[in-house]
Amino acid sequence: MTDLALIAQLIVNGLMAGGTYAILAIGLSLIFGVMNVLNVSYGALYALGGYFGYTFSVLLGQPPLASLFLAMIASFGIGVLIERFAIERVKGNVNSVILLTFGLAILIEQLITLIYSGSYQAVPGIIQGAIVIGGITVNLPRFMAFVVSVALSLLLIVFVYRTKIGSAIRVVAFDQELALLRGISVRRISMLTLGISSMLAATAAALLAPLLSLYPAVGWNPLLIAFVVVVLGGMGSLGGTVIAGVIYGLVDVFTGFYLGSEWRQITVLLVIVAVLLLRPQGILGKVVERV
Amino acid sequence: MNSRQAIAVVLSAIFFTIPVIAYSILLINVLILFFAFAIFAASWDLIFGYTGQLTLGQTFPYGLSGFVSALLVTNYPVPWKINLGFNISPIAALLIGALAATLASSVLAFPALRVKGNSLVIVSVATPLIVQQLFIKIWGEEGIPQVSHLVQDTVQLYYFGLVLTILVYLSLYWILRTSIGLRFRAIREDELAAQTSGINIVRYKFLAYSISSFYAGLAGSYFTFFTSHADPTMFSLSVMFQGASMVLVGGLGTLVGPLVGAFLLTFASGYLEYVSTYRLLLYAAAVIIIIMFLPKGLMHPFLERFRRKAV
Repeated sequence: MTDLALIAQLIVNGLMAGGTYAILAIGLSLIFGVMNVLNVSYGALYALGGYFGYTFSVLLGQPPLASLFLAMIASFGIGVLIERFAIERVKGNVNSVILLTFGLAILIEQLITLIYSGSYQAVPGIIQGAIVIGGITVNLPRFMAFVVSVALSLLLIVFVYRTKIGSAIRVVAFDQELALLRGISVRRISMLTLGISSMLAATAAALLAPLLSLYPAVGWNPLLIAFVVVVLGGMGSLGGTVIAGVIYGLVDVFTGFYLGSEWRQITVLLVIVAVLLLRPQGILGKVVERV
Repeated sequence: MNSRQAIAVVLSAIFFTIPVIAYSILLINVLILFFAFAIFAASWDLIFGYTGQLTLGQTFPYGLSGFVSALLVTNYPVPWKINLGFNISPIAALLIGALAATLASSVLAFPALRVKGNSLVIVSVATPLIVQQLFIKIWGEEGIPQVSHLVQDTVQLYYFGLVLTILVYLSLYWILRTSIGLRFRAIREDELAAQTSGINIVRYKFLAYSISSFYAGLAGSYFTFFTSHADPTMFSLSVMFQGASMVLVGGLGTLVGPLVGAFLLTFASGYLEYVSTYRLLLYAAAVIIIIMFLPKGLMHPFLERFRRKAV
């Protein structure tokens, strides 16, 4: 393989990986970037979504695509319940939200261990295999994750910036009192947002679980990656999240190839610390004064 | 001597007599764990409960100190080992470990002080995990085994922990009563107001970080001597979560809080030890219930009564 072909292959791999990172991060971007609620249980919701998919497809024998939809609906419900019965009670205090969702993350993880045991579970994918185009191998599950990710991100961006409910979400994020004055139910919008975010986490898990495997603590690493990508893309910018996901995927693949795969996780963490310290508004973000 | 001090003295006296009058190896082990967590929880209470800086990276000094102490007592015999019935070398190793952890945390605190709120939480979560990955690369998943061959007697370790806990809480009590403690609380209540009153907030946050890291380091090294190995799971988020839940259960921003929380949760989990799933489940349920229904912690009603009496 020539150097050029190798680099082309790495770029393709990076783009595919970037797609999966973007879909991981887009749900967190909605709840953390747009609504400014630091939901530490996002990783646990990812794990839970994966286990929902596993339950429907492996334990109940549903086809993969149907299981994906069922898992998405179930996760949406869980997200709504978490907002309604837990987060809503402590909304005023940022630290309480963080600690409460930290507690929820540990609770969900331990409940999964209790119900499904702590061992690794393999999950069947929706599609399998790889195709070769012009000497470059394209892994189909990753390609699908990439396509779904881009499509869902576009849908979400249209939803948030072009629909009535979307503008209600942005009003609630901007000023809750103003939202109430405009007749927007802050409670319903918050429930809806956490539901969508949780549903997106489940989608990411359904697309990634066949590639990786499933175990109760599977969500922590995706949570950190999602944080890196959201911060890198700039808080509150959904489009920035997608672009940052792709950039991050390229960095990740090149690090894995040239330094060895055991450096990948360390890179994740170093990037996050570096970005937050040197450029807290994200590499693509604008400086926004939050009062 | 007021009633609170009297209670503290009586409780310490009871703890001093426990190995003599109620010796059981399970009880001693649970109490040793209680000492380690009481110190660890207090260190987090200082930085978050008193100074208002939410960090979830307290396992960084905790684990680092554990590793440094483990290295000191296994590979490098400390030169000033004097036999006093209790080898001084573990004490020296403990102090050196905690100082090293303080130094490392202070170096990191310089950039970390630039970020606050959500960003501080993320940076603080990431830091111990980076170190955990690096240490797994260096020492493997096992970490450093066979640390405590210098502290063979469990009862000695018990008394060592008891004295350490008393010293930590006394020194915290003293620090928080001075003007330094007042400034920490001023920063917690309103950073801008503290700054406009002439408090150098960067300096005092830095001080709070350093002191808190020192105590977390003491806890980590002590824990290493107890379990007789330093392994990378010391940096994990579940250790952080256990410490935080003790503070939250007992009462944030009080000294009685982490003590009572650590006592209740180590005792409750000491007897659930055989299934670690139930232990973390218990901690998680406790934290969720406390934050939602009793945000000031279990000890709050009692503390209020004391306060009213004093007035």
